[in-house]
Amino acid sequence: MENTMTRIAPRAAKVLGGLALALMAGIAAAADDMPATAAAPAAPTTQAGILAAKLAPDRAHTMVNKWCSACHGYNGISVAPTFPVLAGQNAEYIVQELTYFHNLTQDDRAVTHESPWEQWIINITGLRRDYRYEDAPRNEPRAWDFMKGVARDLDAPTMQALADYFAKQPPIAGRPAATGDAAKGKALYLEGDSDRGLIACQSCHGPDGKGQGPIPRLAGQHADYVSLQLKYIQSGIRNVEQMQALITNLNETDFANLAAYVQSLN
Amino acid sequence: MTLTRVARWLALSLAAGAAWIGLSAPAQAIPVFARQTGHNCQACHISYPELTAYGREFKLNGYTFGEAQPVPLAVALMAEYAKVGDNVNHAPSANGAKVCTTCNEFSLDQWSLFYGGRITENLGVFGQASSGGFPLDSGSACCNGFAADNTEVRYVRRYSSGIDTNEQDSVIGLLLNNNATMQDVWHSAPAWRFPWFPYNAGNLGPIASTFIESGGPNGFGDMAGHRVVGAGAYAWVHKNWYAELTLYRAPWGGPFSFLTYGNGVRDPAPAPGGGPSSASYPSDNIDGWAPYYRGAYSKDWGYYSAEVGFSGIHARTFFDPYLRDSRQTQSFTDYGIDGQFQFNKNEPWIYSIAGSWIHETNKLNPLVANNMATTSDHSLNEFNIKGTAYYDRVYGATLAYYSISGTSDPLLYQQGNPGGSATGSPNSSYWMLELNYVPIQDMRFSLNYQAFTKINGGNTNFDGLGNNAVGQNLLQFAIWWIY
Repeated sequence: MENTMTRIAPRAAKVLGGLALALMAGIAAAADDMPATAAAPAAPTTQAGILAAKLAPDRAHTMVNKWCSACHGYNGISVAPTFPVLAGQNAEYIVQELTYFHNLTQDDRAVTHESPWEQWIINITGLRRDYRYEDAPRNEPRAWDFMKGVARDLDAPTMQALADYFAKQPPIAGRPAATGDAAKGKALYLEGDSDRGLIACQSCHGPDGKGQGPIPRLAGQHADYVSLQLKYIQSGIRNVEQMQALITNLNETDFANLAAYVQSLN
Repeated sequence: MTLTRVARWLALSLAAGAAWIGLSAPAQAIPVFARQTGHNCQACHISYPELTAYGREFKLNGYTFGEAQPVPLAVALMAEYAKVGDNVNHAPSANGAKVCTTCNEFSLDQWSLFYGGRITENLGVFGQASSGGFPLDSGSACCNGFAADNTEVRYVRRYSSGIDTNEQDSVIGLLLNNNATMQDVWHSAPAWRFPWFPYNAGNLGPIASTFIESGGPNGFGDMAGHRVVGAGAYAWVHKNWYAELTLYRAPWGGPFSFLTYGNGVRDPAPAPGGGPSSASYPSDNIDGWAPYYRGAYSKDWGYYSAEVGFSGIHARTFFDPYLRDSRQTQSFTDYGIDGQFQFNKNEPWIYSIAGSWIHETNKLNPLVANNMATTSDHSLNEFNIKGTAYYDRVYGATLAYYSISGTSDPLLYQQGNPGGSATGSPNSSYWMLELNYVPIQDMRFSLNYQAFTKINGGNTNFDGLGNNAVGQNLLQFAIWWIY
């Protein structure tokens, strides 16, 4: 176990740092030398890994209350359709998306070209070069505005704990959408359209829209969010290969109809 | 951690910080909060500094989201070109000097250093230090080198309100800052009111302004500010209710005077026989504590969010800041209501509207005794409203209307050249139209036109010297770059 001083000294130093710019620059760096853990799905074997897994639920709960809830709501029910409803979402899907965002920030860091001077500074100080927004691959722009920063510093146990938290929240009730014809959406969702070569959405997302495993739950999701995602996936802005091929022949009216239908599901 | 290690880290980090700033290309260094949270600017800002719903959460949670950064710094540059009306161009000041020193020419208005962000899970800092010009100009009256700008420290804890969730949906916070209303998260508050650029061309503007905004809505609202230190507490309950009480006072060289560094707070030792300050009522004259209160209700639905609220301050200021005699003080009581509405869908449009109305009553007994006012009781009403639209977050337009009216006083609002009042009336009104172009998220171009319909009680010959309100009109082009 670490002694009291190693825990308190960096924290006290950080507090002082807030009052003096120079101090802050120095000591925040010293206390910030914990490396980012790449999201690895394997079960923890090291002592630190086991401890991280044990602490993850508490860390995740604090994070939900403070940070996630700012957009997704305390119970995973977001107010603005900019942000998806997470209540009752499949845990495996949430972990998959968080891992995807996390890996994008990591991959991008790996290909960033640092100047020799920057490399020298990193070597002598051990400073972690954080992800910069200018390096962003512009996929999923809305999510990218927000989620890259959240996922950047998450480790695998915390992702799992966050996903578990949202998965067990009571799902949102279905409600009618302002635009789109839910009846037409229902027909398309349940039966597809053989004339246009469209297979039924329910074959993957389930007849009740609950999805399974890595396939997301759609029932009750904000219609605006769903139709925007369909648009992004179709155009390749959001990279979901399995789906992109299947929805090539859908048009914007179909998007609105489908979105209206899934929002109406409980 | 040993002391040696701390010292080594400190030395290395200072060197690294200097090198990092000096060597990084602009595209590799970004503002403090964006780097801390990993978000794009758009996550928190409609157009900086106007906050989105998420930006308000970030601020009310004490700037603590994300991970603390090794180099918590950012720099902003603000430059403008101004084309001013006839009055300011041609009318000489009392001593014959040209009033406007930066008229019809390009000038670097301000550069700012931002620092801070998350320090611990519960403690965060918003720090800004600014200089009025470049190179550092310490000689002229306008610029005193580097000085503390909006600066704030917050300590926050989370609690459950139990309204419809058992989660910790409420924030209780303590704050320490140097400018009344800078802690506000809505842009109807004077500190963050439109225009969002410190325009400083020789626009004289209305002769009167309310105490809480101390210097009129031109620029960041508190041109005479950052001379006070405020400590307060706030509650943000269930993302709906906001309540705050903050007490402001003059630092007088106390431990928190770093918050007012460079802003002309006077030495605590009284000067022998010192007379009243030429600036009429600078806020560093506050006698005792000035309570500031604020309440608001906010509601989000769909892509919309709306806020209605009230606020007020009561302050007594010394007539003579050197003698600091509590029997000779002016008192100011401001209260107001405000509101804001935002539609933040960005497919491709964003709209926002904000406005406020402030009423002020003041008692100026020492001014009457010294022949600087004819009566002691005065009042002011200040109203402003603005509407903003952004297309695709790149093209923006804002239209704003301002008016101020109040009791007349031929001594308080004197005939003067330029910018005085012939009738002793403070009544003024003007419009402002601004067009914005934001090609990349850390650079904003603005074209701003101010049109006066009435100034200091009149439209034509308002100062008794042949100047007209229209002569105050002003066209400004500005660039804001933050990195």
